[in-house]
This record gives sequence, structure tokens and C-alpha cells, in this order.
Amino acid sequence: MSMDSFQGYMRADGSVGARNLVAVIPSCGCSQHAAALIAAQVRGAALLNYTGGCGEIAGDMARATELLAQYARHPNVVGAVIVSLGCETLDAHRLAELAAGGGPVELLTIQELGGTARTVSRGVDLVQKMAARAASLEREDCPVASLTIGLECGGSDATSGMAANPAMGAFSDLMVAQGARVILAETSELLGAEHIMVDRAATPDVARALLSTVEDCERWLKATGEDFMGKQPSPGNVRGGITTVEEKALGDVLKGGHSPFVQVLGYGQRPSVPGLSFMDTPGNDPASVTGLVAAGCQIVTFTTGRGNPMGNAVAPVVKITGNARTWAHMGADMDLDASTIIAGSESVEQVGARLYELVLRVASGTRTVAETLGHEEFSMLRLGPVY
Amino acid sequence: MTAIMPFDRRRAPCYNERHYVRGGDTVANVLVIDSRDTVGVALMDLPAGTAVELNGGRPTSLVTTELIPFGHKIALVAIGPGETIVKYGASIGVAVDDIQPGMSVHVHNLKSVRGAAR
Repeated sequence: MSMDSFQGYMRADGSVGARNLVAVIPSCGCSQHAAALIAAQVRGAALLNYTGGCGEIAGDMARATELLAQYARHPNVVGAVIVSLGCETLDAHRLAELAAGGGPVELLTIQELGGTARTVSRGVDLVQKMAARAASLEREDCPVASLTIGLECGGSDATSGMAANPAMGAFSDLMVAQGARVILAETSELLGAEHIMVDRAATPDVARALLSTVEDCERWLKATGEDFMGKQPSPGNVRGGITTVEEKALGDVLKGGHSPFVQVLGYGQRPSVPGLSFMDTPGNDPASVTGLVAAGCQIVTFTTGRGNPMGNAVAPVVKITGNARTWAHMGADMDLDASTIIAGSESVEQVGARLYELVLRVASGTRTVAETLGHEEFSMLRLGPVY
Repeated sequence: MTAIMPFDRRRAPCYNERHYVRGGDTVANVLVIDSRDTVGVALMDLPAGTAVELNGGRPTSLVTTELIPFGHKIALVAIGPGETIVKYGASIGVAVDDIQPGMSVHVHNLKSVRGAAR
């Protein structure tokens, strides 16, 4: 088998970027507006829409600090400007330290600079300089093995399990064969399919970790007194023909193809080995994709039967629908039509191969429809209350 | 943890079939993903009284007894209350009512056994 390549940006740390973005990172909700104003002024700036920073439990604060820093060091990011208010609980200086190691990192503090307007003026200048420097970088031949790809689904209907998810599975197998890292996610949507994942676990440790992740999720859910019915599957899933969480899970797990599971990751954790991993994320799509991208995914592939338009702040999101009606009605938000599998004009393997070629083009610079439409979703998983 | 059905990866994956719809000389209107399944999936809106054509050209005399919308499930066999319902070769929950072949299978007669608070 030949080793395939794409045109990427080689970084000093050995990673490979698919985009050159400058991250603008508010360290609390009170500096979010200033950060948004800065990002809006410069093409190539990416706002991380973080609104915490105060009144959060220690675990959520630590997670936020680490995750925001991971975004600053993301392969698609060439520099970061952190916008702090000055009195928040989240330690913005610590965040700036952790963010270092990729491109340049600058910290602006609104209370020191003397207000929103002065901060925005200074921030625009810094972001513009970083973006201008990035414009001189050139793409080079890079192995597909340097890619980390997220597998996500949202707005699922019955066509997801019949067409788009199996096609993504064929794509995932192609990626794994090239030595790439591929991450399946969304724990709550795998209740009822864990036997399939356990059967494919590369080691007994991975099998145990997969089972305990799903059991923890179910136990936590029961402890809240909540009932999955009416939530998993979602009302839209039900209208699309999916009845139970088990049925959704069995369709979901097809996204991971046939490859063995080599690692189980915490939310936002980077896979340390090539192959197919599983990440413990919620079924909430923006929060799940935010965790996948924190782990270094340069691209996320996303199947959606009913039509979900979402993207991400720093990673292109490639959207695939298996529903011919959605392709006809909402095609402007979709990148790839997998309904040909149901119509019988293409096989699952053929659509998987088309997705593979499209992802390499996107990794080489072709914009996804979500990028064209300006999507920049960022939504961090939060475990505790805000007080 | 509820009991789970054994899963045979050599048999089960639905995408070993090259094409879903074109099989034999007919065009299928119901997809059976795995040979062990007790429900199929409507590939188009199927009004009551529609003769079912299965993928792969498998013979059947099944007729819909009510509207089965696109993407929704149709019972392939008689299923009694409490019986496991199988799709993708695995359990998707239990029947909570008598289900006759050709009937719609959805939230009114199929319930999850996972993630319930009680």
C-alpha cells in the first residue's frame, strides 16, 4: 500500500497544521467581548468563545486552563493572544505559560491597559502581526500519518446508521491504514454498543477502560435521576426513526470502521499512539468536537442525517449526510453526499474513499462549507455548577 | 449492566454488502441490515398495504399494515411483549406490546433497557 500525503504546514514541534490561525482567547467571560472585537478585526483570527473563569469548581477551572492552552498550541494555530480582565480566578499568567511552545503568545489585561478600547486596539495590532507572519509560511508534502481526525455525528436519523456512519467507518479504516490517529467519541451515545467496542479492544486494559467509561456514564446519569428517554435519542433522532439509545449506539459505532481500539482518552486528551482511539465526551456536539480538537485533531468529520451546520474555532469540520432530502434541502451546509449508498448507485467503500480524498483536500487548504459560512463553535465540557 | 447479545464481527457488519438497494431484479423498499434482525428500515415512505421488497432480492410476502415513514422500522416477524427486538444484529430494546409482521416499530411499542432512571 502506498503512503499518501497532503499539503500541510510543518511546525517546529513536529506537528503538521492544516490551517494558519491566530487564537484569540478570553480567560474569563468578562473579557470575552473584548476578545470577540479583536478577532472580528483580523482575517485568520479564531475566537475561543470561553465564558467561565470565575465561580467554577476547581476541576472545571483546571480543565479550562489546560484546554485553552491546548488550543493555543494546536497544529492549526500559529500564535495566540490571551485577553484577561485582571481579577478573574483563572490564572491567565499560568494559561500563558502553558500556551507557550507553539507560536508566539501574548497576554493583554484589560484592567492594566485601561479598558476595552485600548485592549482591543493593542490586540488587533498583535493579532494582525501574527497573521501577517503566518501568511509567508508555505505548504509542504506531509504524510497522512501526521493527521489526527475526529469522528463525530449529530442530528442523526436512520440514514446515519445505514449510509453516512458506515462510510465514515470505511474512511476511518483508510486513515488508520496510513498510520493516522483517529478518535471516536460521545460516550452517552454508545450505551448498547459497548460489546462491539470491547470485542475490538486491542488489549484487555483497553477493554476494561471502554467498559468502565460507559458504566461511569450510565451510573452518573442514573445518579442525577434523569431518564434518557426524550434526551437520548433526541426528539429529532426520534422523528428520524431512531427509537432507543441502543439503536442509536449501534449506528454510531459504525463510524469507527473495523479497526481495533488502541487507547481510551479523557476529554481533550491527545492520543499517544497511531490508530483508532475512543474519547470520553458528551453527546452534546459542540462540546464533543471542542474536546476532539483540543486533542490535536486538525480535522473533524461529522455525519448528520437531519442536517447540523456546525464547525469549530480552529479545525475544519467536514459534514456528510446519508439523507437525500437533507442533501437537497440543506446541501449548502453539507460537504459530502452519502445518500448514494441508500439509492444504490455507490457502495459504502466508494463513499468512504471519496471522503478520504475530500479530507486530504481540506487538509491541504480547501475550505469546508462551515468555514465558508464562518462557523467557529467552541463549547467546553463543564462538570460542576457555576456559582 | 444488562446482558448483551454476542456479536460476531465476521457476520454482522452491514457494509459488507456492496449495494443496499439493487439486488435481484427488483428495487428494495426495506433494508434488512443484518440477517438476525427482526426489524427492517423503510427506504422510502411506505403507505399501508405496500408490498415489501427486501434488499438483496430476498423473497418475502410481507405487506405494510400501516404507514412506515422513510427511515422508520417495520416488524419482519411477530414479536411478543418483553421480547428483544434486533437491528444491526444486536438488541435495540424490548417490545412493550404485541407486534405483528408489517407493523411500525417505534416509541409506542419499543422501549430501551438502558439509561433509564428507574
